[in-house]
Amino acid sequence: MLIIKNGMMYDPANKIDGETIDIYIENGKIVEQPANERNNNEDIIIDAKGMIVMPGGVDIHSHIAGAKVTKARVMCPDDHRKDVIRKTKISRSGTGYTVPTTFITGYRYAKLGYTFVAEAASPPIATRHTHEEFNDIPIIDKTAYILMGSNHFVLDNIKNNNFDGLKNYVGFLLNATKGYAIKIVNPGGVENWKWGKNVKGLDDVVINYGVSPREILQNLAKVRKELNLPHAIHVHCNNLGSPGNLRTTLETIDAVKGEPIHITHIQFNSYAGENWGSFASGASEISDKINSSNNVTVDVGQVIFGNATTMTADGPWQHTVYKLSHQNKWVNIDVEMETGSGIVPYIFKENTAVNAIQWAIGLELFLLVKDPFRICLTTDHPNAGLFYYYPMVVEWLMSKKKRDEMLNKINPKAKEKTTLANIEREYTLQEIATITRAATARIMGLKNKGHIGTGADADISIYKFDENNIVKSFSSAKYVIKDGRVVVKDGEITGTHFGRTYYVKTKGEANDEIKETFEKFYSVSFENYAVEDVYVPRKEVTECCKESITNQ
Amino acid sequence: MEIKNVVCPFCGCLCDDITVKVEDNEIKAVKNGCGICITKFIKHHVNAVQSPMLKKEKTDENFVNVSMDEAIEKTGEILKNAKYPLIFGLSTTECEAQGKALELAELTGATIDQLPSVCHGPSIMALQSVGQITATLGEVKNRADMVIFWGCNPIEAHPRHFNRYSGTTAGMWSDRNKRYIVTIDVRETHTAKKSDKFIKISPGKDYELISIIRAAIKGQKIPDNVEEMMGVNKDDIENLINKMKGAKYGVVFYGMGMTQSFGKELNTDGAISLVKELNEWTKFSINPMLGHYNVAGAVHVWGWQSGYPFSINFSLQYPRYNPGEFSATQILARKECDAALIIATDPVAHLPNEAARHLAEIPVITIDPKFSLTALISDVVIPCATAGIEAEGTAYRMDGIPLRLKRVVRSEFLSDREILERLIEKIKEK
Amino acid sequence: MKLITARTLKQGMAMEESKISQTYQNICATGFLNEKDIAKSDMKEGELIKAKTAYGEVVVKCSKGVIDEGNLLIPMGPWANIIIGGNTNGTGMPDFKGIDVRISKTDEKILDVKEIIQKLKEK
Repeated sequence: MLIIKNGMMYDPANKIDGETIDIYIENGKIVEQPANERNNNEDIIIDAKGMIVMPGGVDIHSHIAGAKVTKARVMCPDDHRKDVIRKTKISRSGTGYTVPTTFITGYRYAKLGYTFVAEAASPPIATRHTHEEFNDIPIIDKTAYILMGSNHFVLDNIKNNNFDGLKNYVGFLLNATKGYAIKIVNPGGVENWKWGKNVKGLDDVVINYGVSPREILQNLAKVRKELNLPHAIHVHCNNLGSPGNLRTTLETIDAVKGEPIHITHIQFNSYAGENWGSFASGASEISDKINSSNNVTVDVGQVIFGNATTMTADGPWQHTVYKLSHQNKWVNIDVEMETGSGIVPYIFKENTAVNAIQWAIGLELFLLVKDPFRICLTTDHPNAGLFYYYPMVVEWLMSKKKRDEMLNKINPKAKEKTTLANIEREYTLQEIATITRAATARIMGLKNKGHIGTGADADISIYKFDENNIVKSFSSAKYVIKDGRVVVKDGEITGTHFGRTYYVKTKGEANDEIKETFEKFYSVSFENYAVEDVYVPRKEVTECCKESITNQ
Repeated sequence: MEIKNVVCPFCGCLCDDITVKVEDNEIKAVKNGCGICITKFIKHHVNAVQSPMLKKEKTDENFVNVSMDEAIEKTGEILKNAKYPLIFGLSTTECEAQGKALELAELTGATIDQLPSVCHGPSIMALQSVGQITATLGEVKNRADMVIFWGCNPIEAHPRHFNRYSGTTAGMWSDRNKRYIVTIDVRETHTAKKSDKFIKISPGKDYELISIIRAAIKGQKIPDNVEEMMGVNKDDIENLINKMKGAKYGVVFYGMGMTQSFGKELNTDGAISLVKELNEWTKFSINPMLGHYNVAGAVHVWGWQSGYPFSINFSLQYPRYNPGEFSATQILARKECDAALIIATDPVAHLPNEAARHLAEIPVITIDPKFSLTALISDVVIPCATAGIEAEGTAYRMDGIPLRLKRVVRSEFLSDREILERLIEKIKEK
Repeated sequence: MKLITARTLKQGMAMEESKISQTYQNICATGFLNEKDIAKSDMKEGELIKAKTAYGEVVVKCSKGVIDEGNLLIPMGPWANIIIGGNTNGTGMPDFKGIDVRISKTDEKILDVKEIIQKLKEK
């Protein structure tokens, strides 16, 4: 048994706010306090006196594995030379900086106290690659969201008003890719980009298919419900990054008519103004909408000044970023029948007005949304900032003084064009625990993560909290326990076992029509498409429908 | 027994519609593959290494058969005692083996390199300086209305590419009639003969032609003496540019004609930049014709494990990257390495003599299913199961799509991955 | 003349079968020339030519090829590599295409792979 004694527990899901509670762990799970006295000879006891104890962090949206992540690694050797990591007796070597290699990703997330990370965007035909990388990321549990917003079968079924066909296809696709959720990026826009175009609004039209982003969102939201998937549709809205796009975001929320929707890196979709010159914050309108719509959850995509590597499936947006960036590298990949991606290195600068305003908008959103169970801490790593710097975001949220310091340092437009300077609110530890663990796990439908109740997975982080140095407190955990095993001690890796890959099993299978279309238009054989079991040696499957249990 | 949808482990096409007929653990027939695929499958046992073997002294004429344990023991010794070992090859084996080889390099402080150094290294170096605008092969099949083969000859080097992906194949919005195909090469290759237009260019002038096209697209005048300069006449260039700007979805495929000719990575840099610039007009992509079936695999695996695609050194216990400094050819030609582990490649056949020569002077271990020329001068030869025929694994196609290699017949030998795992264990013991 | 080394379908097939075979030698120890160059050098198809670069010399069999005047094509392989240098100018990529080469008629013989390897061992 592993016992954690005397720690101050922050478990928002179970409404524990700083009480001193002992934790009992056996076989990788949280168990009830044993009825009898332990003789403690074989037990491992961690004395967490004076420390805070939280469930292991759950990152709801990050880019850590797969085709575009590795392309970004290979394309920027200059980035790696800044950040080299030597091998040790128990850990592998690697490199950072903005796109760390797989072993380093696992170690660094663990050191921060994170134990579950969702890869936010996997192209179906290359999801085998995502899984291969997962198998090289130690410690943390992982899952992958599957890109569908510009998929031929999705567009075609919607065009033909074939909802059942759509539902079946989406189910088949999630099963075949061993993915977790429906990911929608710039719905319809990514298909138009293959002809060099985009979509400008929800009622714009996808070339050759004649369907609209609105129809894509509505239909997929309904499919999600009928397939009983644990996580809402995960949406990167149209018009991301453009001044004035808050209108598109509000319309997107309305479009799904009360179905659950999770909008990701919403900071990039909270802009007012008509052009870069009049660029301003739309955070007030957006947070009002979130506060009054209980079907909406979001993650922020907070900007952190410094180097970043932008990478999304939003091809046309990435082309724009290329033209706005400081450098000459641009990657674009069109992925047949399904989606695409784009990669552009970028630097967020304190002196640049737009970047400074973006930084402030992210914080405004955190501070104006009232219910911390509906807003999550992300930086869309590595798009807006790097996950190693999450503690900086925590500090800005917990300390008005620290964010004012930054606000006074950066381009004054941040004060002028946003309301951040006037916000007094400071996050409590409980609220931090919520937006980094309890909320994210609940929104993703992960029943055994993000809390420390009996039956939960024994993923725990223990920090020495110093309110005068919040960044340091959260940058390096005193202890991290994963599956009941100590993996981090005093900020150093002490155990490197591998975690599990999470995916769903739902209703849907390939019918003759799907196979025929496949053989005609894909460049691989249908039989070779689905991800084989060998790629998920350690897995955790969520059964979504009664039928799916019998569908082997 | 007929095994369908087998993935062919020869070239970057990674055709996955091969049918292999197996009886009593022998391959009897192969359907759908090109000539090279059929040869690879049917003759996979020809010239095979029959047993692990080693030479007691490097100067010995003959090999002595030994057990796998002895071969691994000797290999471990050689690598442990080396101060600057080289691990080279790996582009024609599967991904887990590639990962294990990197682990071995990290463990022994070795330099590890794979075949792009002599093949598409310049493409990757161009990616590292300007990026890459590309599309998976199905996009070409479905959308391309203009295809340019520049310095590559798929009819000979990637025999089914033209029919499966880029030439005659019919897709959702395109087919041979809708596709305008151009070949740019120094000689009229078989591919040129199947194209709608062949543009002959003088050897070593690709950079000049690319630069002139880039300038002309931006409105600069094409010099009158362009034909003298590069063997291409002005009208041809103007027509090509008009066709490119007028295309709805253009794709450039390029190969060794560009990467190995004078200019090398500057050529690929220029070509990718040209395609980037064309994207201001219309949709254009550029794809490297990766030769070996799993070059992309090692680029990906080493990329996600170390951050670098090839020419990686671990002497300082962390990965360092520098083509030229850590390229196999140069390390061998400069006689820097003092031991070499060669896996799934044949440097004596395929590297310049000046480099291959050094292999005759240092301890060399070869892991290969067949007697390569390098095996003939090695100290230790370890046979292995051929990935894609006798061993499973992942391979990445030239456009980055990963597929699962099947095992169609059993081998008595371990796979590359298993051999490397044993080596890693052995070295950790010592 | 300029030397080009390249893959060919036949070379690929022979390589996949066995490099220690007469077939492989026949295919790879061949120098393809434009028929005008063959006539100019007073040679016939099938005769032996010596190709010499700054890095070495190799004997191959002369064959007519679809290739421009002034170019010599040898399929990639150990014969071509005898005359290609190891310096890559920091790129890692040897000059597989485009280096200067001189050809002449010869009555020396084509080395087989064992002999090529033997030569490697010589200092």
